Amino acid sequence: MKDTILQLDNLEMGFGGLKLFSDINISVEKGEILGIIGTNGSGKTTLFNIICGIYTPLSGKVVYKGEDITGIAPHQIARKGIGRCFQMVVPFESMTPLENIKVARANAGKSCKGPEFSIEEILELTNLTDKKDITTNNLSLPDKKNVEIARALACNPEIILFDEVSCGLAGEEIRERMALMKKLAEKGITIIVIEHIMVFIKEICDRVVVLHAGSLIAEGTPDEIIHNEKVIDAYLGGREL
Amino acid sequence: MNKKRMLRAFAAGLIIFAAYLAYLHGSNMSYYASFIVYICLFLIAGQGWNLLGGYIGEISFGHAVFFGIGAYTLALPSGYGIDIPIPVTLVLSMLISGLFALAISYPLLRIRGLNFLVGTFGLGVVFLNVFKSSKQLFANKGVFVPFVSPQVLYPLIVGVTIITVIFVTYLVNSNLGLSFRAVRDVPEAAEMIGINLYKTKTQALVIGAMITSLAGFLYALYSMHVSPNATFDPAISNDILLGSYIGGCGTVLGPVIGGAVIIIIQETARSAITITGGHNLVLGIMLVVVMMTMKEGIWVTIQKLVDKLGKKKGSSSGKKLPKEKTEVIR
Amino acid sequence: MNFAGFIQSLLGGIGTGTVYALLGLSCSLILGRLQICSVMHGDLALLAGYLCYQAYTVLHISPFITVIILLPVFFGIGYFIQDVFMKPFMKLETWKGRYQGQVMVSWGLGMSIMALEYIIFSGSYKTLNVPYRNSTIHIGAVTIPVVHIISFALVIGLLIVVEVALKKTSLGIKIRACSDDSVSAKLTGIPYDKICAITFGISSALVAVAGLAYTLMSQLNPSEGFDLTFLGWAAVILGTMGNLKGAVTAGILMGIVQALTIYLWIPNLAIAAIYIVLIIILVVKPRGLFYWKKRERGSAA
Repeated sequence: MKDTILQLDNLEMGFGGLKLFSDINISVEKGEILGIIGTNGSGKTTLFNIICGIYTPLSGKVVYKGEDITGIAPHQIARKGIGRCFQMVVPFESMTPLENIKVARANAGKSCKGPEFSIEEILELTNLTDKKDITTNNLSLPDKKNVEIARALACNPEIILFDEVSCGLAGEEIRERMALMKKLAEKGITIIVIEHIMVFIKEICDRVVVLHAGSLIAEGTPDEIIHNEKVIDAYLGGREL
Repeated sequence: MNKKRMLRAFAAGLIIFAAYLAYLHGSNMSYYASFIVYICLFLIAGQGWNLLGGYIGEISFGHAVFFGIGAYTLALPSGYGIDIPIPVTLVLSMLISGLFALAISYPLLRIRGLNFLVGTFGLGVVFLNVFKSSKQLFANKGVFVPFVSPQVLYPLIVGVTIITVIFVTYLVNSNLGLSFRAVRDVPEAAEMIGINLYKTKTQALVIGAMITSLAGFLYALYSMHVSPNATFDPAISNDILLGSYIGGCGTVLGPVIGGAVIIIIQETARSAITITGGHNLVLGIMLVVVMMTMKEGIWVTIQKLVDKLGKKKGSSSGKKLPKEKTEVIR
Repeated sequence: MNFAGFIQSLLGGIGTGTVYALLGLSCSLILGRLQICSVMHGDLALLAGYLCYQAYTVLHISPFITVIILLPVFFGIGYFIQDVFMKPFMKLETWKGRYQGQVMVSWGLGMSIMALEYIIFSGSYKTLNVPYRNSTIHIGAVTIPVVHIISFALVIGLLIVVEVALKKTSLGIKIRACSDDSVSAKLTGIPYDKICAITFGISSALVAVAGLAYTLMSQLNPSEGFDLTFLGWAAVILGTMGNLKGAVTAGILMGIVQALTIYLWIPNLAIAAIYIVLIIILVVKPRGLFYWKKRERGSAA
């Protein structure tokens, strides 16, 4: 029996009368890498926003380490140990990578109880050691993404949510990210990723859930998912169409 | 990094020079000495404004409120004949304006928007009118405050200016200052690393308000007389804000340079254009020109120029340039 | 307390409120819709007022005719201002440089306009003495100044025109598209910068009408411009950003607050009372009176 660290209970979400999804039940175990895939607009990012507290779900609960965190302010959730990397890269551009890390360490980093990396380790892991004093504004896109990962790591989180980290990156860079995520998982950080690239999912995820048309249509290991009929229907167009 | 430090040391040298000047002229109350000290008061207030206005990006049009609170905390007891030692009133004035800032942050800073801008302007109007019209607060005729010899006061004010600049430099490079900048850069991401947006903004406002009230307090000692028109007037808020913006908000030395530039230009224009309100034309045009040509203010533009030249010529030229530049702009 | 007097000042408040409503309407159009921030609207209104005054006292032209001439002129001025001074900041994100930059530039322009008014018209108070300025209509014990009725009609008329134009005309649809999302508006082939300039022009034209209403009711002084701007903004915030009807209603409410303060309390604090009420309302409803919470965003950002 593994520990459940994050539990989504019957989540229902919608905007202005338009229902996005309902009956979402996902439980995430400590230390695993969970992939979330789904077509565009199926609500993956919204799901992240609910976990982070940016949105409040219409009904249902988010339970983190046995505690109901639904509707709590985002910064409080971050201080409990949930880190996040955005799909759009948003490092603090007026600061250097080092300052980005420091500010995260000084805020959420103080109260989170995840595995702790020292600042040097984080810089090392994210390949930023020699760029730590350049203003982030002047860095390239892959480096900015690294800054974001570094910032999330500096919070000492127990869970990190990665929203399409491979978006806009090329082959080798994606490989680096995959290696990094595996390393983090080995250290005991739970990782949830949203991805479009199936190789990525197949390579690193322990388990995958598939969101489609407002509900959870499949759950299982990457191999099971790839051969699941419903998933193939959803992605390649179903027979009923 | 090293160059930055050098520039800072240079600016600190300038301020020390000003202190020397103030001391020199303080003895016979020369116009220049008192003018330099007057500028220093606005530099302190500008640092207070800059914490929220520059580092977080919420423009306040009503910092005169804190300025006035500082001045009146000294003046009111003395107006009623109550004798409180000056250090006590100083602490009191900073405390009161800090608490007041805390109180107004709740309605004005909870959401991102124009609430803060309009609200602070409104508070300025409220305070000005309340102090002007109520006899208990000595209305328009104002209050005289205890006399402190300029020989003591002028160097003191210049000293406080330097301490304030150093304190703010330290503050903005500390973790709290980094949080301020994080909130300005990407509020959404700042939340994701556990920063409470409202609380951080409030901290900036409260610390800034205390610094500004310090300026007001010193102003009261400096002018020996406090009246609503000299402390709560929107013109005071405008000078504080203009100085920071023209100099380059979000930097420590920007408000220092900008504040000096603004006060000097304003006084020159006021003596050149004798029609009431005419000097605003110079200020207005200058503001438009500065904002259109160098969006980040004079200081940041100079820094960029220095960087460029430094890359071309090597680091030796970096030290001399700002002096010439500021002279030209003045 | 006499009831007729109370009603009288209430109606008077609605009358003064129409000026704030007009200012709020014009500010709301650019602030709430396209997120262009301008602190020069009050100065523009005052400029229109001064031109009306000058045309009437020197050339004996009715201020209403002057305003009709001024509408295209102010549209042009607004278009020019947006195109030259505000456009460079439109690239920036709303809260990251755009609003700060635009506030500063428009403040500089407003300050220049104010200084010019000081230089040309001097700092003394000017009154536009049209014959109907003091004429009133009597209903029972209550008297209503004609100018209040005119101004009220102008507000309601313009509100309806603007609302309908935004809903029905192709320009209105373009403005709404630009205010929803600038990038997709551009991609749809809408000339974003031009639409912004046109909207700013319309807003400036509206402000000329506000200037007329203000001139008919109060005395002109260059220093009032900045205060007027913020009263307009207060109406926008009180009535929730982007809600034109809200801004107009809030403007009239502000007028009522002002009138009741004069009637019940201390006349010197009439304007201050507006801001006190604003801040008290912001404690309860930080997004203005006409905002009902959607469940989209849990936090304050």
